[in-house]
Amino acid sequence: MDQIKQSFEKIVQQAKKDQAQVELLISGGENLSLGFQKKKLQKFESTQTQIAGFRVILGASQGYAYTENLAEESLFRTYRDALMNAKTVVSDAGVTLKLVAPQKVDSMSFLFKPENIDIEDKMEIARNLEEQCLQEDPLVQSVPYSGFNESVSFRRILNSEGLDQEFKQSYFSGHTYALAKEGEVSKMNGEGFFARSFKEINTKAVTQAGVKKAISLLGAKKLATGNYPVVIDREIFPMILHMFSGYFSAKKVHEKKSLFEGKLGQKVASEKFELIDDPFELRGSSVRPFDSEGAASQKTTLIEKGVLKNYFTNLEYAQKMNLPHTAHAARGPTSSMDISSTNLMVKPGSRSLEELLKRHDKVIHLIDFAGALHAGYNSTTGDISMPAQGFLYENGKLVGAVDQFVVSGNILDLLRDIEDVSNQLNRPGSSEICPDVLVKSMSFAGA
Amino acid sequence: MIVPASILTTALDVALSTGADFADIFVEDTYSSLLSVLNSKPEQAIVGQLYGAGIRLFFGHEIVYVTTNDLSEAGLVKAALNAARSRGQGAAKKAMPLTQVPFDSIHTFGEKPWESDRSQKLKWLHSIDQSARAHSSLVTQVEGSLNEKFQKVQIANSKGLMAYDERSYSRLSMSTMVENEGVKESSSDDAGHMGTSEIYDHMNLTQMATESVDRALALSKAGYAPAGEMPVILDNGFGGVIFHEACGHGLETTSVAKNASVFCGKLGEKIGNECVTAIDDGTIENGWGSENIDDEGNKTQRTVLVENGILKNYIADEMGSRQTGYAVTGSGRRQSYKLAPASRMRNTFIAPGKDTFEDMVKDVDYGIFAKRMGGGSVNPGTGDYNFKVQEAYMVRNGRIEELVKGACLIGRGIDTLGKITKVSSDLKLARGMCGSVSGSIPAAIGQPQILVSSLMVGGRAK
Repeated sequence: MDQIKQSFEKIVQQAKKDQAQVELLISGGENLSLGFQKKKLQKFESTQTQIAGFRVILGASQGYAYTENLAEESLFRTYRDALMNAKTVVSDAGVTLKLVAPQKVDSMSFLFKPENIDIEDKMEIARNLEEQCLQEDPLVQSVPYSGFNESVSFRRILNSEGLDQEFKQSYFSGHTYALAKEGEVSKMNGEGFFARSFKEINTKAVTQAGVKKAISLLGAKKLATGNYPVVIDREIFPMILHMFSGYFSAKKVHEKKSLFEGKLGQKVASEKFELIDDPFELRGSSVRPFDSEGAASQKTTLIEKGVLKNYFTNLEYAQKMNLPHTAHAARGPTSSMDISSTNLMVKPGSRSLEELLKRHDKVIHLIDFAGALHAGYNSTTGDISMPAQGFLYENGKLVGAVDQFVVSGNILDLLRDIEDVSNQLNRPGSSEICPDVLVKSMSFAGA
Repeated sequence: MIVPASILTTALDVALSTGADFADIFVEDTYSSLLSVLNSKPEQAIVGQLYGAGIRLFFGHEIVYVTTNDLSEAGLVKAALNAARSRGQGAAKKAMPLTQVPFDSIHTFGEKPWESDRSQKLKWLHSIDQSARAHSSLVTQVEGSLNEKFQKVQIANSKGLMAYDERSYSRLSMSTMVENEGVKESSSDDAGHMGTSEIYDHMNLTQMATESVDRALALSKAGYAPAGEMPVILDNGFGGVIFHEACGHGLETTSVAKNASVFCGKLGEKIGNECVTAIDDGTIENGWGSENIDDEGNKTQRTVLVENGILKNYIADEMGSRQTGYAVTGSGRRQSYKLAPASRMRNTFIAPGKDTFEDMVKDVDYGIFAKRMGGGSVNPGTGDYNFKVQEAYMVRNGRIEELVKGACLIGRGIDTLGKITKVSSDLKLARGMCGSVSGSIPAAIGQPQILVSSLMVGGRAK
């Protein structure tokens, strides 16, 4: 038995005397970040982290505490802090919260395969992410942001019901953002990657795509104010998904913070829009065999032919709201229990992006939003108002790049106005997996 | 002190053992507490401790950074050795003997968050909830939270610097949701400072709550802001987010050293209208973004960034200074030991001018008055920025008229600075959390009221 388990079992004995239930979530990992700037190594960061977070349940009340010191004495002190916090909180009467019982869960161990890569090979990847951008096109003036990450992460949950399970994964990721300049006009854009094995990494493809995005926007013209049909590119539609994914949370519904409150079984989107949550989809970055209270993961249908089919729940809200338990408990060691999505997947359609761009006389193809989540979206009302960049198409033909405009609308209208989705999915590595999305009309404030 | 000087010296010597020309260690012991009230009941209670160190090595312009949770001599030496071996092959150097940096704290703190009475904290939160609900039956939800943080930091470097400081932060936030004839709206507000929580005893929390409800109700009846370019008056306080986003980030050496800022090479040049003087000041007593010493152990400073429209200084940390040649301004900041420091803003504001708010309004035939700002973002490479306006009013023929919602302002920093045509004398500061390469940190923003002659307003096209 390892030291953590030994300490935890002693804490469980104490919790029994305190008539409390206890859960311990430990997460952490190792990360190496490398980045080059002007052909010199600018960043070499090696971090190791581990943090333990207690959840103590007294009847229906939950208290939390965390520490980075995993010695037994520190864990006991943190448990007592969490117990005190549980005594502070006042919960709904008549509900007794439960912990997840031990259950057989596939640990998805195939996702943990640390590779013994020579440091010089990793440096080469980081170096290429800058240099290949500079070589790609003379208009690239600099590469202000680029970097390569090698990560190993783990998450372990133990509880006083006897549950003890762990999930570990290893992966590589990186990004590059090129600053292109022509005359007095500068544009910065980029691309990223996510790979579960080192040999999958193709820096040339990443840098070509990043540079293409930055350069294609040079010479952008202002757009006349008006309403236009719009294709939201598959690489930025994840931001739109992110905006409304919280509305599926039963907790948010219960707290009257969701615009999907009272809409179960009702039409909330166009028939063309189908959405599921899939924690096993390996294209996505939010793969996990169990949720943050240890319940086995499962696929959940959210929107089917435009109809809202399910809310996300954890044990507490499935019980409180008499809903199916979907295993979407979400928390880190430093936070309290919440509910959130894993990999959201929009079902692709049958037509290509090019076909979507031909569907109206004029179509704006949006390829970049700025400041979308914290500066351009109001989750209470669903109102969107954010600067964007993209291309104007007329009768399916590219007219040119457009920028310096604000696109606005409401998320519920946007979902209802989806006319079609393309047959191509965004690149792997995002927790939102989606095709290009054609929306009937959005408001553009430009020149 | 968190770690004895002798242990830090040993670790610094190990860090320098393979050719690094500079090393520093940042040690942190932080207590955090969150209490919240939802549905009129205590909803969340979380406390915790972050405890660790970051060791940074410079090899010329190259940075190596490692972290550890083990603050014993063995733990720090192991981390320092990992850092040294990762890059260096050069000759070993020795750290200078450590000398404590003397300073008198410019801040005063009351009871530490773990010492103060929890029932009193809940009383403040309940008073907000009750005041908001009593003010209108259309209130559907009230959420109040108190975040407290007490950070002890110790910094030592191979040039012989050693410093220790304590920083306390307290922020009381609230949001109100209303439903009025089927329309949902919300409004939020906050209070706080670099300091401890006793200040809320002397604040009118009822007024904060009722004003928040009134604002949400007014928004629920408001129409959408128009779209297009027009004059914009930005209110004082949080209106300063425009300078923070439009210019401040572009003046950090983090961007300047990479040639990723539109303000590169413009020192001494006119970058704004003459009425614009802007300052980044880390020395304001109990200021939200103030520090006695920064996260590199340097005394924080008051830095004039722009004076009468002329660019005077950049915001520099140690590596930024090394890369650009500009002097360190005591601006090396980070969210925690888990991140290497970077040049970051502190309390950044446009200095008071000579105009009056009334004159600004009279100047506008058709435009908006942006009273409360939301969050914003900037692309430092291009200077393109945007931010949300939470509360805006139409201005027609020199008069402030109806409330409008859904507005967002966009522009390019250097263009906007040239279009600020009036600056009032009524300076106010406000609290924000600024996110960038070294994480999320407290940063104050501020300004007097200003008039921007033309800005793109993103509302709804007619």
